Amino acid sequence: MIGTIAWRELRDLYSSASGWLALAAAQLLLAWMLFAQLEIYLKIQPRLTAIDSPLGIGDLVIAPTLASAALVLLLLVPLLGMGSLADELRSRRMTLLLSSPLSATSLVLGKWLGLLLACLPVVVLVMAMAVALGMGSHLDSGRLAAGALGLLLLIALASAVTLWFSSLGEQPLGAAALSWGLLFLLWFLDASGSEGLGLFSLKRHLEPFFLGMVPSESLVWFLTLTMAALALAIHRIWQLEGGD
Amino acid sequence: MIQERDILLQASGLGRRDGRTQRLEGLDLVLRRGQVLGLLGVNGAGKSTTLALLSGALRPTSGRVEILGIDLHRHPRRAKRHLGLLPERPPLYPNLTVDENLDFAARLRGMKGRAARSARERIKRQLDLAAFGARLCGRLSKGMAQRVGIAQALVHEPQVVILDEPTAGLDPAQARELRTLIGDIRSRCGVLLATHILRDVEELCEEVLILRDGRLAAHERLHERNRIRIHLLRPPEKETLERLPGVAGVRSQGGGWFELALDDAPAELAREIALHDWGLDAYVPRRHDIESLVGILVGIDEEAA
Repeated sequence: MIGTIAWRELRDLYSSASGWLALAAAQLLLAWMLFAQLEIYLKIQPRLTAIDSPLGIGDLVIAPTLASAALVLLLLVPLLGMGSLADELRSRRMTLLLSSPLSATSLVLGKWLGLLLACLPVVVLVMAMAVALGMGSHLDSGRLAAGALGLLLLIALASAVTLWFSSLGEQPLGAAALSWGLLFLLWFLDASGSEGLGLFSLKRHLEPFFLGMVPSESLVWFLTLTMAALALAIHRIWQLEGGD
Repeated sequence: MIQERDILLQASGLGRRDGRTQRLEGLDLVLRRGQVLGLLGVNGAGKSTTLALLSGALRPTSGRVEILGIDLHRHPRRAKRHLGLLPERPPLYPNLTVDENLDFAARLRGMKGRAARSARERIKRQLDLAAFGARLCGRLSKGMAQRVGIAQALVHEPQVVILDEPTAGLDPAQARELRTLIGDIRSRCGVLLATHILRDVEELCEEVLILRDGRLAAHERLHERNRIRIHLLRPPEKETLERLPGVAGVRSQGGGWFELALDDAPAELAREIALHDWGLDAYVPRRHDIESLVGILVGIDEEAA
């Protein structure tokens, strides 16, 4: 049943021009950022060689591009997922879903999986660009894999948060605005100056992945927040069914 | 004779309270195979709440619902497989084709792969949708979208079909077509029909439940075997008619018209009328007239009126 919901979600997102346009815009933006980073790198490369710097293309091109990809995904995921449940509520299709032999958990997980899969092409294309770049230089595949994992965790979290906000009302744009608000608040928490708040910063937990590390505390942070947002969305559906 | 196995949907003491608002209270109903049961009520009477409770989209705060003897709220997945629902607005995904919407509905009800595809093709043939499989649902006319909505509700061959205002917003030809369709499907299932349109009730329903302020205001049988209207050319006093054997009640409607409730078959009454030479001019086995339903709907006591 989760697969059925996920397939429908994916099919719905990419059956309209807006889904493809959003994906194309994200890809163009990321390609432009990659080439901009590459141009800077090519300009400073002779000086780096002269001072025997250990910094290479992975640090100066790939890591910043992945960080840019993270920001693009923070914008893209709420845009694609804002109507996921809000549209069902607005169009009264939720009645069909709730009257079918489908649990609230299956519904939310199916929607989440569909959104995750819809955003996956961005990660695949970013990685494809990085691998293409690596053909002309040496790239650490472990570092690339860690970067891909970081982006996947980010999509998982952003999708769960968007789903939760989308379950709260019938207005997709409201859900997108709330999702952007929360995700960017988490992103910029490390700029607050408070060490305590900084521990919860999305940016602080994501950056190590782009440097080739997979910190267990960051893994736990992403998984905990993702599961909490999914649990809230499931609870909301349960409330819609009349659960107290 | 009605057998226990013919009962498809049964609600007892069904109620829903949201905070201080009692949306529905103590509703009992039984839907049998081959029956079209009407559910009437003005806006805010509790119709939507009733349908949500009966379809499992909302949990009751009191009472229970059984579909084919399966408790809907204890075993929702088992019970809901036997249920087909057409909400007031057909629940279609406009970006998906008719085929994709029907596939999705079949899979939602637990059908898989080839079974879902063959069910889709069967229902398309039945509802004359075969030529529209590749059409995007967002581009269908209202009547056609309603037809696809019904196909969605029936694709898994449910035993219990719940239709909410199925003819609302359709032109007269489309509405007639849809009524014919509902008449056709009734033989293999039970249909609960919520509507504002009295024509639907008149043509399709044997019984109606009328809700008012979240309570059952009336349970009317539309084909009353023992209620008749007669017109007498030389009418006696109402009291004389009341004293006739087999007559349980009389209402004088003026101009020689009477409405009679009978204990026995009408043959005995016909003999009495002939014997007294009251001139039986018209004899109408009485169908519960639709105006009296309107009276009950809006809360006007028929007798008082």
